[in-house]
Amino acid sequence: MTPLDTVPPWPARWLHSLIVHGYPRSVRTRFGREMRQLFFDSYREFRRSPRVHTSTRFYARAFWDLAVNAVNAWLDSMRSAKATRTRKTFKHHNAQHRVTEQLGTLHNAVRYALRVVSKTPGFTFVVLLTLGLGIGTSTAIYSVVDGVLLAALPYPNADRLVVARERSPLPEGRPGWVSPLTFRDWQERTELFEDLVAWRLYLVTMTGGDSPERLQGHVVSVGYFRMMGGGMTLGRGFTADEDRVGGEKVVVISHGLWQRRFASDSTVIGTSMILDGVPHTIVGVAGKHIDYPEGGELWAPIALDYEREFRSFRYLGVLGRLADDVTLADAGADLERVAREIATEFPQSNGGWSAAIEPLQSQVVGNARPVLVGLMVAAAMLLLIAVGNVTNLFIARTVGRHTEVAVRRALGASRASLIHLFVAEALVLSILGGAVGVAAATWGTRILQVTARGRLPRVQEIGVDGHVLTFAVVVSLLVGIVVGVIPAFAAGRTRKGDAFRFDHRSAIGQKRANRLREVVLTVQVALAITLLVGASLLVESLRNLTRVDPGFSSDDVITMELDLPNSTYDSGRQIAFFNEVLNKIGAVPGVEAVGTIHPMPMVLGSTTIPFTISPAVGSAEAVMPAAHVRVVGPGYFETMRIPLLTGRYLESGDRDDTQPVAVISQTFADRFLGNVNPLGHRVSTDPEAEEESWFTIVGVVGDVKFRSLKDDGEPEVYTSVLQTSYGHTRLVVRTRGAPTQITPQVANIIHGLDPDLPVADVRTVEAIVTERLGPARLNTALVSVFATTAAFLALVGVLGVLTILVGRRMREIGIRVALGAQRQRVLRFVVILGLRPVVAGLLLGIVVSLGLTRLLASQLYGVSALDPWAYVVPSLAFLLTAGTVCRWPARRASRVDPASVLREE
Amino acid sequence: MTSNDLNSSPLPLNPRVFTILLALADGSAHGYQIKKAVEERSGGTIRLDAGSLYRSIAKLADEGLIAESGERPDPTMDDTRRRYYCLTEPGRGVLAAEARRLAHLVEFARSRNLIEEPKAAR
Repeated sequence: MTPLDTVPPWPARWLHSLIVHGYPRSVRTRFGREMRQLFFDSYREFRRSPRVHTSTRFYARAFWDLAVNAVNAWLDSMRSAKATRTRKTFKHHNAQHRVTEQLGTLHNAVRYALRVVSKTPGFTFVVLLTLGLGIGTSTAIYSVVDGVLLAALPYPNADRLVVARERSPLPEGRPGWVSPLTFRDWQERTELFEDLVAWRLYLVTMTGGDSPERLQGHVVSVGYFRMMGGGMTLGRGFTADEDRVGGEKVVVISHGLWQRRFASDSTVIGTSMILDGVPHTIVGVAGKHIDYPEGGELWAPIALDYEREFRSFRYLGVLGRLADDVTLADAGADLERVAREIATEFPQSNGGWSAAIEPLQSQVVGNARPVLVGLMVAAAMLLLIAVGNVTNLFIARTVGRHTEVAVRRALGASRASLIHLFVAEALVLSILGGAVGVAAATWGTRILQVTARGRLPRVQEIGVDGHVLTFAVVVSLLVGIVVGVIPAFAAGRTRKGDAFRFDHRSAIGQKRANRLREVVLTVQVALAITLLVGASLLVESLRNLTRVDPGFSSDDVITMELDLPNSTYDSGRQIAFFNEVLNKIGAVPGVEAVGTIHPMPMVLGSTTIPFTISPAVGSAEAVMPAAHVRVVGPGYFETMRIPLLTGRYLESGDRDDTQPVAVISQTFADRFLGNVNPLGHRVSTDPEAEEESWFTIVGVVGDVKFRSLKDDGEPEVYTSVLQTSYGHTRLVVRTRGAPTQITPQVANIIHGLDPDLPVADVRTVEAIVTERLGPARLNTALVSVFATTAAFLALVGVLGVLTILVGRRMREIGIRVALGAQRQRVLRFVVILGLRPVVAGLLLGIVVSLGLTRLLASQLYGVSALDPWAYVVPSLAFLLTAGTVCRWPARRASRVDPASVLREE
Repeated sequence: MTSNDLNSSPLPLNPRVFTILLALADGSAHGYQIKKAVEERSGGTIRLDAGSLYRSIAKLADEGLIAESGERPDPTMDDTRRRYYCLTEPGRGVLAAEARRLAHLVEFARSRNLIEEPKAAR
């Protein structure tokens, strides 16, 4: 570790001293140095054991504590000052005396500020509105960032929880599911985890109530509830005896299910519920906070049967808790060591495979992180633009109050006390603006919570709480200081004799104020351009996404979940059922085609399974072929209109007594069969299997976007549900006309065949595809709104600054006109005057965008972060609008009557 | 009389104050040592950062329960930037009184069978 690492970086040190400066002087002089020392010590400890802590959380915690206690310390000192007075003790501390004195000045300044504020209602209104907008937006976005990114997950020592995965050597290999045998090896061979547990999705039908219900839960290995910190509402978790093949059928229900289906009945423990036709004893009700993996309503023991598993069959999620004093890096390295051992021992199934761990928090937050960070940056820019406008208003007013300032100076006010006065005034306004902002944010957060549901993780944790309020207070104070100090520079320059120079146009502050205004405006325009560029990139990316061909046609197709429990449906009955249900639905008038599929595109994830191809093809040697397996009912491809490239689709004639057949996707053919005609080749997951159980490839279909619209096609193998029966599936029905109208008839047919089968999750395929775009839409909409508001505020800034400039130079313009200047030239002169900072800001903005849009790159689809159009179009549009805006004051200037201006002299 | 006038009736102590005093029971310590001791002893449930720690220290010093310590532990380990704090006589008395009060409460709870060994479930 370098010595540089042992002190916090300068912005943190600076912010720390700034907050310490906010403490009452008595506290500051007594403890200021020690507070700094403690901060350094804590930082050093944090750096020594980074574990899974993020630095954001370290700083948030330290600064929050510091800021909150600054407010408390003031309250303390006021109380003790009061107590001292009432006790009429003469023996008080010098420090306390100073506090009262300081409070006196503060009190005066605030009283003065309130008086000024109330006397200029128009000014106050505009300032509060602008600041409320800026602070409100940042506060609302911060509340999302705080709830989703910063707040710890609701489990004890949640920062020790990690997700462990196997990582495939394939090119698109991202860390994914884990094979049970690998999971067992991990448990046995690494010591750096306190515990490792496995889970997988568990979809069941609950019967016995009024109507059958589909439930989604998870099967988990023993230790899961201990890992989540216990905290059962009722009962217990699972025992090792229950988590064993042939163990007792037990289940733990979620707090939500307990309330919903069992009316929070406290005697539910020990009773039984029928899941997939089998009675299960309820042994526990989970704590309300336990919600990982998200959205589960019940848990059952996973009871892995290691005898029947293959190493290449990977389908488990694995959750681990790091042992005490073990860092994330150490645990990750140790798991990789074990993965390498396994790879050497089982090269066939694990050659090239490695392992990866990731903090649970970052896995839960996932893709939301770059989006939220981008939004926070956008909101901060909007806030800065708002602050710019208010600063320019303050500069203008300070210059206008030139005489008052000069008189105060002449009467003996020190420069510092004047600056105090200005800052106090700005602080009063910024705190009021902050209050408006918090009100707006509370309202905005509620709207965000509704619109972001299902598009962001942990939405339920978003809200205006202590952290968010502290954020708003700190931001308001900083804004007040900035807005107060900048104009004070102009005013502080006033000399004592200036009071008697009533011609304030020649005042010394004037030129300086103008330059300051232009600088502020340039920065504002630059920020607005950056936001506009970002927004246009996102809009373009969203447009590309909506135009993406998913490989199937989504309109007029409705889909619903169907689940045949294994306990009542053996594979023969399943096939018979699917045959009948597909025939009956196909005969309904208005139905064009019907099929089934599992797993459904964009609804369920899946994992690749290794294949052997026979006869072997040269290119297959390089990488072991692996593909996603989809079990479809005949009619699926027709229903989804997935194009047939060669051969034939799966048909209703493909039965369990005919040759097993498969259809493959184009990517499968290209990647594993190269230029060979794929038809007639056979594939199998088990190279040892008997000849007749291999699947013969009879067709190649187009690629389908299974995971999301952004992904490329992947190798897929489709087999028929009539040959490889699988009880859990989704029906897809294409209709002529509105697809939802057909739902009751379809449900009737299913219930006619088996009244115990629930028809769940009825949705149109179009809705499923649209839902996939939800996060991108939300993000794009927010950034666009920010960018438009920013552009509007910046244009208001342009107008304001130019109006002031023209007002100040009216005399000069009048003289020019009197001397024969053409009105057209005056017009042009003023427009150019106004556009000068705009053009400077534009150029600066483009440079800033070139650097910042790189942050967006991960969120863009089909458009480069450096796409020239995204830069040119908003810049030109802004320039043109600014030009139009500049014409208003310009026209006023060109119509000036030279006589009246000169008469004013 | 203000409600926060601790001198008149110091008990019961705020748990944070109690743990800080407890941290000083073994001898003098500087701010960071107090922070570490408190966090360790409370099992991480009480967190002290600069603001809350020094506000508590200020209060306790003003109430005369702790004082700045003249003694410095090991001159080689000493850091002149740090100030050491120790319990005063009244401070030790208050700490002992609070400990006794808590012990009584725990005794009572135990007599009502509220405290038992945790079951080995799950």
